[in-house]
Amino acid sequence: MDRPLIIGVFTNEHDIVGAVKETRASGYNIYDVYTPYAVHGLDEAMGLKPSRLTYVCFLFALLGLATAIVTQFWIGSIDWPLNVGGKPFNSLPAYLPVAFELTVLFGGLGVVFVMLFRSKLFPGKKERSIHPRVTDDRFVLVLEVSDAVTDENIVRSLWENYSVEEVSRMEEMA
Amino acid sequence: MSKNAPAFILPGSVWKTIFVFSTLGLLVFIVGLFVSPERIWPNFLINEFFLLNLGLGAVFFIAVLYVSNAGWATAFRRVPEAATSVLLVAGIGAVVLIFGMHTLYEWSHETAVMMDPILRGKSAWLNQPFFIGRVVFYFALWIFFARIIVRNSLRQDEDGRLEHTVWNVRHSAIFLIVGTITFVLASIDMIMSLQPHWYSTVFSLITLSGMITSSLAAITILMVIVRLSGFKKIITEEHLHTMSNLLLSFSVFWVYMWVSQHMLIWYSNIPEETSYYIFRHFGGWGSLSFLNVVLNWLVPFLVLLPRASKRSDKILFQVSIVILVGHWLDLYIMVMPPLMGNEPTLGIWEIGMFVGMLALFFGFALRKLQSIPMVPVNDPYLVESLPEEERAVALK
Repeated sequence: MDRPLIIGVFTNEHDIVGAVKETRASGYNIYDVYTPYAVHGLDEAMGLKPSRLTYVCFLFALLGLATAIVTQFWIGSIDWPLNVGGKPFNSLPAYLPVAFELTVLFGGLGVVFVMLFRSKLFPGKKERSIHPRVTDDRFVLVLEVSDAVTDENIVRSLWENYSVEEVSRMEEMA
Repeated sequence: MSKNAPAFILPGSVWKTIFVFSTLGLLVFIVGLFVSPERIWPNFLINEFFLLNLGLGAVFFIAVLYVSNAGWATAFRRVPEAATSVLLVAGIGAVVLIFGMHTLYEWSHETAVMMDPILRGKSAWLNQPFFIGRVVFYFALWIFFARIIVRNSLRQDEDGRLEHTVWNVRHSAIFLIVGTITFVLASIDMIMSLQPHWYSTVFSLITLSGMITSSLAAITILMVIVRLSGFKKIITEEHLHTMSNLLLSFSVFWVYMWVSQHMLIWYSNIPEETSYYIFRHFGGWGSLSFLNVVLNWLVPFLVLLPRASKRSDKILFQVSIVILVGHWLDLYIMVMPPLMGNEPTLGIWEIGMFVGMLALFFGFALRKLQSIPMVPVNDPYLVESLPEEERAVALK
């Protein structure tokens, strides 16, 4: 981010949702919103698209299912057939527990790693917080200054309806 | 606080359809009693048990809401409350069922018990007077709890006292324990004892999960009907979404239980346990068992995964119908093989009675819904479950 940003700090979730709605309605570009916990209705207010991670999860789950079935089939029927209680070598009921486990394991781990990769997160990454109290009790709206028209004073007066606590300007996101 | 809650009214054509189908079902039953009683009684048992599931599952649903102090469902709690009214019909059905005992249960014939050492050993539990007493006791207990919980909820509409909620939490807590135990026993008595030599500890969990899934499906259908007749602002897409989540998870729970029983019996391969699946694994019954898992788990699971279908009236309605048919098939596979022999039969008796039973259920539930206020206006949790625009109205 090399464009300057305007930061507004709010004290409760109703204010931030209202401010987000009105700021968007006035045609400004919202860079992001930081909240200490998940706020209901904020996604709709920001106009965020539903996450595509669900599809990733589904595909990984299918991969896990296929891995489990193919592996067990190959081991049990082709590579090393064992007679267990006179059952057929290729019997689906015996595959089910492992198939279930691997489906869940692949789906769960896959979606977590893809999420970390997509958000460029890794252990030990240094991340600067936008506001020291955003992980405590403050709600921060970050506005992108898209052109010269964006006037800090107008934005400030817009946010004052939602009892904004602090408005500041940041030249670039570190 | 008083609010003019809108009334729920259905057009007369719907009533006509419901009346026609339920009368048809009743006719099929009565004619069948004379034409082929040995086929009509198992069908009666299936539909009687199904009706009981729909009514009792709704009581479980309400009780869980109360015990967990859940606020999300209060706006449409009248829907499951109305659904509990069929328990009375199911109670009458249970009395009728007693006349079919000899056709259904091998252990009810004294000569058969005398000849069979296993049945003789079980006769302390499986005998006629005790069976009749138990069934009457179960239904009396369920109807008692259902009526008292619904009555408290309706009284709160009038006097607005908070105590009604507190009492209902207590009644619900007791019901959840007593109701689960009695339902487990009832499914052993009414269904598992059809094959009195066979037993399975997971069996009641299959019927229990089937009961919850099918009654959730029925409640969802009722919700969609109510929504489409002008309650979209009160029963919102959020409510539908949560109901779909429950449907999805309980359908998975059902298949988990089904596999638990099937796989363990298949694995250990003990003759007295496999006797149940020997019937149901080959020929026509085998295909039906496969279809059972597809209808009750695979279809709801795949259809309800995407978010969009969880919030769509149409898709939810269709999936709920699939689950209801699937649950009927589940009971059909439990009841029919020991009584009707090696190949499944599907005819006017099966279809007619099933459709009649569903019509009876929806008729009673919808009629009850028309006669009571749709929104529990004085419930302390109502505000929590309404969408934001409606909250201001409710708080006035």
